[in-house]
Amino acid sequence: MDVIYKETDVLVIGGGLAGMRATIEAHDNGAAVLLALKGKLGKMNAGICSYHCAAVGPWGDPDDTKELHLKDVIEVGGYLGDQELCKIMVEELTDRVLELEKYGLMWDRDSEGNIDPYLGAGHSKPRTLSTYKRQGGLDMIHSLRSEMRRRKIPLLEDIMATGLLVNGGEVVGVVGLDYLNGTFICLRAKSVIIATGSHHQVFPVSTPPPEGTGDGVAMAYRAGAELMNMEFTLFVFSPANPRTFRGILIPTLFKVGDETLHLLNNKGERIMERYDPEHLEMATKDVIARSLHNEIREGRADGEEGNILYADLRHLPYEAAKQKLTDLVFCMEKAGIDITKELIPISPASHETIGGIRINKRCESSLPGLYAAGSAIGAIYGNDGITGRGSGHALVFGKRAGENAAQRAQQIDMPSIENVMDQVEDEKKRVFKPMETRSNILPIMVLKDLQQTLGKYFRMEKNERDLQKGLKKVLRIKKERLHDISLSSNTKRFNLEWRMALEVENLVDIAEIMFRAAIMRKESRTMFLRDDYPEKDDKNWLKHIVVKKQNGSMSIEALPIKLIYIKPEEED
Amino acid sequence: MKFAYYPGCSPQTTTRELDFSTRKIAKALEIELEDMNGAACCGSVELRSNDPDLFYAINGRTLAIAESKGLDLLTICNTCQLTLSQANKSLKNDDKLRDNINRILSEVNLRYSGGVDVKHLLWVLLENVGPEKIKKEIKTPLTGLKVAPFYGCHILRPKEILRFDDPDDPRSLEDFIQMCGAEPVDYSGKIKCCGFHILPYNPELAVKLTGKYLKEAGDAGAQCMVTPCPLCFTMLDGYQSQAGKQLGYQFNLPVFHLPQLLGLAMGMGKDELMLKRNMIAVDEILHKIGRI
Amino acid sequence: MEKLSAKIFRYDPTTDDSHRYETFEVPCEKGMRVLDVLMYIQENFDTSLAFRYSCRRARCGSCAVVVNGKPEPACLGEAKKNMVIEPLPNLPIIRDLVVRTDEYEERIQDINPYLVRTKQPELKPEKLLSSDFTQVMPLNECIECFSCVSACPVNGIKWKGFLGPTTLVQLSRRLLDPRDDRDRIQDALRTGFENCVSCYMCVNTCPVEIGILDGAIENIKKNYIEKRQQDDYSKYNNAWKNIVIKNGIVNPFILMRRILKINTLLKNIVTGIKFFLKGRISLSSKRIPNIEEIRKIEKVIGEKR
Repeated sequence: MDVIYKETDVLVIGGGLAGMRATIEAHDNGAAVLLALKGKLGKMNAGICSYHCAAVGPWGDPDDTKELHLKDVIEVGGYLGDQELCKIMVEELTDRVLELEKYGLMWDRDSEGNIDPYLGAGHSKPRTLSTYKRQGGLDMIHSLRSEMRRRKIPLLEDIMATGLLVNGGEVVGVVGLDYLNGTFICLRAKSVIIATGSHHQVFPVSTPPPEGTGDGVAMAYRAGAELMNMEFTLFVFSPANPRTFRGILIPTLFKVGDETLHLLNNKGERIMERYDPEHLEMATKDVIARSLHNEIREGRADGEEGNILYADLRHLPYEAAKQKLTDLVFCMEKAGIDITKELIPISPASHETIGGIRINKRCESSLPGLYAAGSAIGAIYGNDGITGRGSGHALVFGKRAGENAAQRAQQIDMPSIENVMDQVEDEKKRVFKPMETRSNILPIMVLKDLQQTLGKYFRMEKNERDLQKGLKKVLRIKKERLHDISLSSNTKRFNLEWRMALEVENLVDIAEIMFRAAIMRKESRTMFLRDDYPEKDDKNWLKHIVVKKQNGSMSIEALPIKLIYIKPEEED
Repeated sequence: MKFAYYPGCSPQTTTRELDFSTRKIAKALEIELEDMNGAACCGSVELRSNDPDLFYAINGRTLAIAESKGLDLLTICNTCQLTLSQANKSLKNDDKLRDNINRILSEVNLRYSGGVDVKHLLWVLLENVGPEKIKKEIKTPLTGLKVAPFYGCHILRPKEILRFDDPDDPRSLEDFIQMCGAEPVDYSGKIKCCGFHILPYNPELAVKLTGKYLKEAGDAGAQCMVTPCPLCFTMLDGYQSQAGKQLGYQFNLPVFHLPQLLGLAMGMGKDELMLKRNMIAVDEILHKIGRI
Repeated sequence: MEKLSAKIFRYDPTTDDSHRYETFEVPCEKGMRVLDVLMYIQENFDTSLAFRYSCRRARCGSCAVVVNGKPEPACLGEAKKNMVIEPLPNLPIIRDLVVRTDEYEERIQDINPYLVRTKQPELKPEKLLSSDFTQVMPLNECIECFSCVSACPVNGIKWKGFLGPTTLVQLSRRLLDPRDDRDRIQDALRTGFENCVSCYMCVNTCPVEIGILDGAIENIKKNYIEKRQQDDYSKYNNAWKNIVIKNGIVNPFILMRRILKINTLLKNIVTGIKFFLKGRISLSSKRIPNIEEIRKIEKVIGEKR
């Protein structure tokens, strides 16, 4: 088995919004950069499905300030955000969104040619920016990709990074599988940036793309880096069928004319009138999710599993709806639904996960040499659904990670990997194990098993019994099935099943951490709900739950959040 | 029924047999063709990209002339059908454009208010005249004749402008062939491009495209071809031997215009349909259907 | 339960001599997409089936395949009762339905697919009017799925130098962007845009309904003719226009005579003679009655400009 060796100053893993922004910044700061991604550039990321970004700037309400933005972010996040990082993010977002226009994007303008923001869910002032037909994410990805093309940055596509190489406590490289050719690859670098996105694939139905298997988070954990707030994830609703379209978000906050779309229960009642008559469908994601889930609980939903509610677009002017709610209208019409006459059945799905690698303001993880950006980082906002969350932390921390990683690369020599060749060998054995195992356990079976476990025991409303049951099941999967996974075909050429085998290993590790962290947090807050602890507990739980692999086992502790700028009492 | 007759440039110069045979079958089917007396070239794709203002003005004029006669427009060329339909749709829906064009047309005492429909002969035969009436006129059905339809791009695409048939799985030309008593041959090239619009600029490319689909039709068992477009006809018939030379193949696939095939089925003869003008001799086909 | 039948192209270049087709029966569901069929087959019948997909809503452009002869993203394509699903044509096959799209990506890279401004603006919001961007905005929806170029007949016969509709859309995006100030005609020269046969196959195929021909390619043509009046392509287009103004009818022979170079005329002399013998070449410039109206119209338009 040949191993392919490459080396570079800064190695970025993951080619989404954060990864591309980090790559561009590292390159512009003089570093030799290599971007390794699990697919094709610009075609494999959650960013394209996003709609917008929110930033304070010379637009919108002249009374808007970055302090107000920070307050919104921290409050909507249930005060679980890292306030220092959030302040940095709010500060730097202005430049990041303006920069995108240099990269070719064009934010919506009003009739006088000024940037025209709208009010996003959870924001106190209009500061949310989007582009033509509300496809901000698509335009953001395209503009970053065109900058990558301008700089002709070398890419390693169809590569799955599987492990970090750690020498004397510092990260010196990454190993992985080139699954297009079936070869093992060893990449040496002075700095490694993880931008691999979220781990939503632990759930049976999730809206972001299927590559979100938390590869970077799992690798970082196995290498000994700290993870934060793994108990948090976002729950949303998406069209109930067909399965392909489960990835579409229901954009409740977009006004078409004077109205948003309506969410209805099986009696045809407008759900949000009961739970939030002030904001209605413009409430934050967690309020909407809780409301809809409550309707399901109280039996006002349809379907075999009693979890189908409805999105109503019938009252909206058709042509305007096509322009503002593009994805939803476009795809539903393909599926044969006439949105002017019929309701769209929707059911629960998971959105991006919030937990991830813990970073400081230089985007450094707890392991020197390892940086992280984007959805792979842990809960800097807290557990929330404020508009523009995803693109915000991808752009700001992507840039900072790139900048800091390049700086480090200038200050140190290329690390040697002589001392870690045993790690390379061990990883190679682990990666090739499914190819050599003969059993009747296929990766898809283990994945489905895991997903069903989380679907059943890690729902939006949790309780101790379910969480413990779920944890036990995950541990059983880990013990009994994970290491006996085999493949139905031993082709080395683009073997997606092989890739899935390795992804499942990551997901199982992550699932275990998620359950343990959720068991530890004994309270309810924003989108984290526990039936057995239904109240918010500021006294005990204004804390970050930090998980780390220490001496071969999982250490888990709750660290108090530093309420530097905003304290909960101020709200009332 | 009566139409403002818009033959287009090719049937007035290179493919006069199409104009001639159209008039013949129109008379037999009681379709009155009103001469437009001075309608200009539709501009084709060349004028549309080069000078859109002139494109809309000239086609607006053509539509205005038809409207002044209170008639819909009948075309016998795919590209005329497309360009006029495109101009018509824009002039009907875009008030600002229509006002601008009418301002220009007022200089020549014309005005268009959007009341004309543009129809291709194929559609008129299938929809306005109808298979029932046509079947009554079929005196010598072309039984057993295997005919490959070649639609030609601009009668099918873009769908939003042309609307009559499904561009991915059209049936109109097959229905027409069956109406004449013949057997349509299926092959994937039937909806593809003959390359005519690149002929003046890049003949080699055009001939290569034509050759590809001629071969497909032949391989699928066709004895002859029919096309609703004189431009496609010019390529398939006029450049057939060049295409054969390029491919290293000997083609012998006679090509008919739409009204020529229908005329044959209605009992008309070689002279009435100007079949002598077809570059690939049609005698073998006439023999097969028992006409000589 | 109703079932549909899917015949899938299978090929592993590392082990197979040639490709084969495998047929699967899949339970039918309301609104089912081709991607649903592929996922079902992969999960229930053959976990080794290889295909790409990501966003599942025609945003990423990674899942394009050929379904019953038509290229389209699998996530949008409607699942039909009988389907043949094949990889995109004219590209090297990686495995099964996955192809190597490097060639198309290199073509795009070749036309400098990024905003070029000689003077970089400061990091302050610019006053930009949406009305200046109406032509370019719809082109920004291009997801580079490569369905259009897979359906393009000129690309299909591998005509050298024609880079295809995807590349032309990406070029047009920058050409029509009022902020871009690079001489995009330089890039257009490398694309072979003049070889577009205007067949609308690309428009018919585009899953996100971009007006590729009218919105992108014709704008490149228009710009080219404006800026390069002396080039052959512009001369050809202008000759057409001038004959329309002069005669109202375009006699192909007159057109050819005006634009074709001697060697091209000679190459086609045999065909020319054959046409002449069949009476297809009219030597006179036929003119419509009321030609003065056309000339008046042209004059009025010229004055307005």
